Amino acid sequence: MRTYILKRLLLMVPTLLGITLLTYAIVRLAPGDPVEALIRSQAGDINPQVFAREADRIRERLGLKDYNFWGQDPDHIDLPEKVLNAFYGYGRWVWHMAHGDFGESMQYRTTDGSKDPARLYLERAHVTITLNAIAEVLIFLIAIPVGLAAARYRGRLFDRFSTIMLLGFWSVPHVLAGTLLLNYLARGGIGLEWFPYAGLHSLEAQDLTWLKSFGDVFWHATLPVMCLVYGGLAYLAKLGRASLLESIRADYVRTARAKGLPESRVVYHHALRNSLLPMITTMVMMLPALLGGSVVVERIFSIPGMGQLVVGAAMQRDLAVIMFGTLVFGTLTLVSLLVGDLLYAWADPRIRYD
Amino acid sequence: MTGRRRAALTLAAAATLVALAARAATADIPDFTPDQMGGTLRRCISAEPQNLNPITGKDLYERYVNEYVFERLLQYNNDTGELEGVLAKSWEISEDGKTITYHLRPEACFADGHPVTSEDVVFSFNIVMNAEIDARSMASYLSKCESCTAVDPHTVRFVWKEKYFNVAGASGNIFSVLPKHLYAKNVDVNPEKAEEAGITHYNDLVQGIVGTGPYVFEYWKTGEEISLVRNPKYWGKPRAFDRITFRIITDEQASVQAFLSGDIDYLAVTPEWYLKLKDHDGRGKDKDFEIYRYSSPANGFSFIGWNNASYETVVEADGKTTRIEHRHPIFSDPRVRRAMTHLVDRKSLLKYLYHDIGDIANGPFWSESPQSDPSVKPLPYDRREAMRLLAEAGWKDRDNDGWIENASGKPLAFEWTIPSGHQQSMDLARIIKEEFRRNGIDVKPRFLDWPVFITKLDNRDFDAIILAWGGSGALEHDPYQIWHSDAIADQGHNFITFRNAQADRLIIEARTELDLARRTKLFREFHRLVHRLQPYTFFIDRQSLRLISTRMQNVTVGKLGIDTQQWWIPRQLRRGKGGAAP
Repeated sequence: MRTYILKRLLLMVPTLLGITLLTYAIVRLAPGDPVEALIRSQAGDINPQVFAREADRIRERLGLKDYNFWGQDPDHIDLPEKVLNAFYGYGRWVWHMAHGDFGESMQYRTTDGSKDPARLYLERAHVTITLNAIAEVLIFLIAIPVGLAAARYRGRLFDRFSTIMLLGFWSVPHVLAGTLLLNYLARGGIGLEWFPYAGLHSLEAQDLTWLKSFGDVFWHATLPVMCLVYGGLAYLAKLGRASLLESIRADYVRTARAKGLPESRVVYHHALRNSLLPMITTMVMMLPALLGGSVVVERIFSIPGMGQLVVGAAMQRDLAVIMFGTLVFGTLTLVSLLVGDLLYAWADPRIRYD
Repeated sequence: MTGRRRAALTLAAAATLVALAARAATADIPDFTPDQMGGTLRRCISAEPQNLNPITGKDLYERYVNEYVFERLLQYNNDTGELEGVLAKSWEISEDGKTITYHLRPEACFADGHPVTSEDVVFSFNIVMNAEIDARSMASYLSKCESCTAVDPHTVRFVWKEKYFNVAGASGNIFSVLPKHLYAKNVDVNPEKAEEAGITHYNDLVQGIVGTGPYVFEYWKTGEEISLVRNPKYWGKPRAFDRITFRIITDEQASVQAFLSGDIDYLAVTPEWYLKLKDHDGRGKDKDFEIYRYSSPANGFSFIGWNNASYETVVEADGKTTRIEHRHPIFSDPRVRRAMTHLVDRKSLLKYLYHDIGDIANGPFWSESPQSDPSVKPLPYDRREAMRLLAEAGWKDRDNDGWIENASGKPLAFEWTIPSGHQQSMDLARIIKEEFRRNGIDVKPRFLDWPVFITKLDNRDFDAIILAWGGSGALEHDPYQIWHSDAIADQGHNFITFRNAQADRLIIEARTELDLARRTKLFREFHRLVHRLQPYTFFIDRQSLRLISTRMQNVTVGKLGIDTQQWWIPRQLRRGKGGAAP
């Protein structure tokens, strides 16, 4: 097992390099020049020499400078040359990254003025983590009883009803759900004005007592968390139902029933335990998808998390921020896949990776 | 306080790319009674500013916040549209129109109590011009300035390289004045060595910068709120509010809900929201707010730009002379461009696409500016006239296949380059494509990402485009940047390559003419010329739509728009921090 984990961890390095190389190449080789667009959309009229100098200065600083490797006409760098530049730039990025330097953002700054992408993400990480942690726990807590009940009362009204509901949940995009929740449940909307429309805590939160501010976060997080939960919930509940049905039909459950155990003990003690395991592993693997949903939800509910940063950076092609985001989300995905696989093995002794 | 007077490329869809003029003209501030003073003005912005440094800040949000914190030598009066002194008590312009001398107000001081001197003005000017400082675009507005010198502690002199009609606006209304005694070390420090020295380089100062304005920075909570608080040492007439806060709400729906639930007092909205909230509060209740709809020189206009290219360049190399012809096969002919304008039914498009919010644009100037010639009327939607003009230019359906061709049988077909992501432009392109197709013209819309679109503009590599200019914010606007042939080369803003000797002459004569009446005559002549040649099909003059809570008193719409610094709230209606109600 230890060699397996080591092997997987080592494999992560080339995989991550592949992911980052691909992202880097897409951002670099896409047509149009983000630096030029940045200066141009801010400037009224910049003298062309100053413009070129300024653009060069920014490119140099951001590691986006094009080098004329083959000594061609510098105004017409062709595609192979661009590819070469992208590889060179990527190499530089990896080298600097290995030394703990992640470059600098083209436009974002932390409140104390730093352009370091790592610090930009760090500043926003706790928000995204809080939100997604609550969502993960809730998904798990709701999905199990729903899946269990649907399996136990298979074909009955609850099962049919929940199937339709879950299928509905599964099909609704975050953007629509978020807007509906906002409009019908948040203050200033047209329905029940129960929840706030923006942010993750009241602006007066620092004046509140510990308990009150805890409640305040929950109150604010309700709608965004609802928005994050329903998709994962649908998936996990359906999975739970299927896996419980499978266990209920298994031989050991029949044995348990045959030896006269009460039905509740059969289901909760024998069947449920076994069907929980695939759910746990799926939960872990669902984490990256959940973070993806967070990108949309953070925007709708004005939550200053990592998701907003990623979207903003992608729109402006802010390379350093995109790359650091890729690195973080890539690592997170690979780690959760590994943990998921390991949990599988731990849960089911028949699975061996050696 | 119009900063960037000149028009800048804007795209309404991508807010972070917008570089509108920083019009923050202040109206006459009333003498508030002690009873009227107090309370919080709660505003909302749709994205976080990149920073709150008045010189290196580049986005609209920074300007919304900083208009309360910093002041310039001059500003535009919101009610009259005329320049008036802020930190300058008076100014005079020399006979030749090149030298302008400002006399500072002796009572003006920074928020830390230090008086404002001419040294501070020169220092601020030098920050902008310093190549190390991240302010190249602001510096570009001062590129025609030869020198800025302190004559005595309260006198500053700017010398311009050439005669210019708006030398006052161009020198006194571009940059905010910062205290030298606080920031000299941040500017002087070598950026490479700043960290060792323990001094933050000026480029890295992002918040809490000291100015001379009626408010000072209080806090900035990332992604949540920015707060300003009254400057207790303000030298001028105090404003009514104790605090001004900016909630950061990224979703449009959420920001409207924030307004409707009474958590913010002032909000700019889209035409769709305007229609929804026009009569009641969108929830069937009576509304406790007013909707303001007005046009101002800050709004700008949208247009369809045709590639006008029609000129030759002569290149001499190796003793040989080569003539390179730049001529757009279709739109170099003004008759074709006029025909195109006749084919765009702007009235219906305005009605159905823009809900009649806006006016048909009619020329390079804001329609209510004195520069705009009132005798010029927009070309009407007229298919017959369009066909006649096209036939005159040699384009007609020669083989009766329904498509228009020229004498050599080449069909009238072109590509239309449009920035993607802006729904209205995309709808517009689809409708016009259909209209043109019915008239035998084949249009291929091409939607491009903003960076790609910009590259196409720079290379003048397009047949037609859709774009908008942000307004200049001042009543008078200098057309040089967009219309003079000098702006064709080097990726200037004349990307449609409009080259006309008469236009060049009119622009130069007008911008060096110091007499208003004579200048206006020249600008109007230029307007008529542009109308005749139709280098753009001018589309819509946009309008501002604002929701303002009825709790706000003394809300007026001046010539240049709305100024929040005139407002106050009665004591019993105050909310938020320092207010009576929760």
